[in-house]
Amino acid sequence: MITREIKDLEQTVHIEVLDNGLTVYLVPFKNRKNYYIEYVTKFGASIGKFKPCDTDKFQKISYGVAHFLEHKMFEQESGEDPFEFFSKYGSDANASTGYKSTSYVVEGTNNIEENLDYMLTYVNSPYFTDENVEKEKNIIIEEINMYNDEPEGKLYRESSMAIFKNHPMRIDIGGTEKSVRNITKEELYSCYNTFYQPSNMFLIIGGNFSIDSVMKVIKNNKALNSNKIKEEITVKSVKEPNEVNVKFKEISIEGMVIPKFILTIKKSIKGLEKKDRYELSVLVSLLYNILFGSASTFREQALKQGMMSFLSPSKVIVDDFLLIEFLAESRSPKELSEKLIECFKNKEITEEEIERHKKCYISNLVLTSDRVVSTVSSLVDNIIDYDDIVYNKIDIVRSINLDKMNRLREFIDIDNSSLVIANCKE
Amino acid sequence: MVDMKYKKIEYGSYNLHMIKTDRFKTINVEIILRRDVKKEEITSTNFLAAILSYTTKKYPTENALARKMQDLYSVKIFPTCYRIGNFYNVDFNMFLLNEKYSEKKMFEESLELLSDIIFDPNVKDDKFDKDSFDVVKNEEKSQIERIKEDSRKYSLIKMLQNLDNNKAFSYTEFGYMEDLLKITPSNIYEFYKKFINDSVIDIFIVGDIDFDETERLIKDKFKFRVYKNDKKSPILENFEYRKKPQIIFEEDNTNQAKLSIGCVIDRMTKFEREYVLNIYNLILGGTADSKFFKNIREKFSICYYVSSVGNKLDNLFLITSGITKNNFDIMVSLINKEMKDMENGDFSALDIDKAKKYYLSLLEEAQDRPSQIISSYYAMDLWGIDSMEKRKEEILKVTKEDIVKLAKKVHVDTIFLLGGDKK
Repeated sequence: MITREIKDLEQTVHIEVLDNGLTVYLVPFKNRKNYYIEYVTKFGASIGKFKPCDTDKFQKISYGVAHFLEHKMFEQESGEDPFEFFSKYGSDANASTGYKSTSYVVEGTNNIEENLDYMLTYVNSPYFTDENVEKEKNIIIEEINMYNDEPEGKLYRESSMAIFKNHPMRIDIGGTEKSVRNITKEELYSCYNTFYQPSNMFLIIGGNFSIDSVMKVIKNNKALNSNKIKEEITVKSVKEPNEVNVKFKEISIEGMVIPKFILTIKKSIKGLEKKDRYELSVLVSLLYNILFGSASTFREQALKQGMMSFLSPSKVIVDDFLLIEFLAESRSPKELSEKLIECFKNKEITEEEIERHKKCYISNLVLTSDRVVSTVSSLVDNIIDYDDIVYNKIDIVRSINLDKMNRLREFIDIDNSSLVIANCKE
Repeated sequence: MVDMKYKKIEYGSYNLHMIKTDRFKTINVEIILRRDVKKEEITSTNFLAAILSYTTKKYPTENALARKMQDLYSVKIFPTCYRIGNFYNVDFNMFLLNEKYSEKKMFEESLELLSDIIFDPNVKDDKFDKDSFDVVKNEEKSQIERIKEDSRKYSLIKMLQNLDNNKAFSYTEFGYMEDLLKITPSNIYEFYKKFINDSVIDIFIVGDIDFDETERLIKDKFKFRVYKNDKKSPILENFEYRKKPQIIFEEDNTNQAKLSIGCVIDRMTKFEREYVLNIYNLILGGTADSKFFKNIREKFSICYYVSSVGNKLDNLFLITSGITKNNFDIMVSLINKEMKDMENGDFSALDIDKAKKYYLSLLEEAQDRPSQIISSYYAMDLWGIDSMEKRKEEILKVTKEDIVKLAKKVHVDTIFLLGGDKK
């Protein structure tokens, strides 16, 4: 086991790679009552094609399989319901699927050994039958229906299709009613056997626990230890052009009361090594916080002119694409989006602004490190996005200067963006 | 709690509660201003909280105030407005890094800023600044309009209004358009003066603080003057339930229909309100291991969510779900069956034990969050709930008979279904 410090945040991470390839990260906290376990596979909805473990042929993955698997992992051959098990000790369990990964979590204040042991067992014991797969479809379709009814959700779906031409991110994580209806237990097993092998997964525990006792549980868990390394995972990425699919689209959405838009910049970062992507991500956050955050002239003006009620920027890195997204609510969406683009291109940024926002960024890193759940989540994101925990975050933030910012602004081209405006339906 | 020290000082015009602990890297401050809830004042109260936090006399633009907050190592200050039984509260929340992670004087300067926000509003000639006023009005307007985009919440609000339109639980916390249109820069200032003078005020501070130093700072920065002595209870009075539940449909062109069921709990005892209701809810519909989840979602596969919550101050028990409209009858009968089973004692000793452990776990976890530590002390102070230590003992005393007895007091009153009409 090796031990590493996260510099300046007073956090220590203990890491061990098991014989079967699973990496375990332990982040104990002093003075906390609860613990939080996140067990993650690097399998999400963004994978389009892969080579199943036992064949040579590439297989296409139906939309919604990762999410379906997540639902079905809770099914046990014994008939026992994992939620029922965890609730015995008053703990909470949950799971979620993203584009890049699927997570299983357990959170509680006592009996961590039993809960951890059970979690490793149930996630390593798939039990899919034609019948239980069929039964789950109705629940998932109700879930899809729920999201389909949300006006903002509709806007997001349109926006994804405008950004991507072929990439699976065109479609919701849960898939469509049609794709879900067609999923079979064979497809679930095939994806499970490939993507749920220990070398494609990792486990993080944060909070209140003893290192020795959790390691003992992990090393003795039968289901986990019988899940051996099979072979390298071969994934074929879908050919996706660097340009956005559709530059502009105007739609009207039922149930929407105030018009909204999503403007997304698409930037290929192919060739940029994963370890260098953290700095990029910090720079992008600083950039949009400076230009559009609470201390910006843009925001002040737009509010004063009654042009918007909110604007929230965010960014995500998926595969080799950086997406910078602006979600806004505005009664004059066209005009606001034009101003936004103009500001993004031309507004000057000063050294003083960068320094002030760096200070805020660092404060937020300290705040995150003060909470068990947000600490674990941010480490999970690190591992997914940069292949490793970023141990010198604060140093990286400190190293940012006007020069780097200007280079970023040259690098990003807001003309390669998609704008989807959603009006209200009469 | 071993590593927490609590001290309360009553000044007459406000109470200061200090909780010293070295668990957190932050200091959290909450100033809670409490008044009786009045439907016609909700919108003004929300408006006031928003405009006070938007600009101040010293920092007269959003930009200037935001910069100041950034200079203080990104101190977070934001108001929250919410109803708590018979009261309507405004909290001014602030959290900042402990000076160990920033620099000296940051705590004092942040308190100074918070004090500016409350006592030094951006007012000239007895009127709030027009620019700030317009921005806040726009934001409040959008917020009120936006409720309709959240059909789950909207269904719940409509259900409560149908249950009893005169009771406080039917008021929406988003405010009302007709009230918003009446607000002007001068009448909101009039309201401000009234609000500051007649609110009952509690100040909470949690963090690695020095009691004497903190007391001195608070006394120096927060000069509330008016003496108040209010011992009213937040708990709503008991009321009659419909002997035959009313069923209401409202059309909406959505795929999924949102079901909201309002149950009236008839005459709870203090023990039932604080303890038995929690256990009842956890067994019936409060978790992913509840009867609703297991017996309705998992066995019948007719919904993605079905859950419940006990609203102890309002004497209400609420159930929500999202379903296909055609399944309405079967869903209602399944819910009724589970509720009947509770009345008949059709649940196990293990169910009770699990619910108790869950409750205890929540109680423990609450100590990891400054805001929950504050709300726990506040509830102890406001309506005399037991201390955390006592709660841990009392919950264990809940028996099966207690739960059955409470189950018989829970009466379905209003069943509301919104939408699901898309063809």
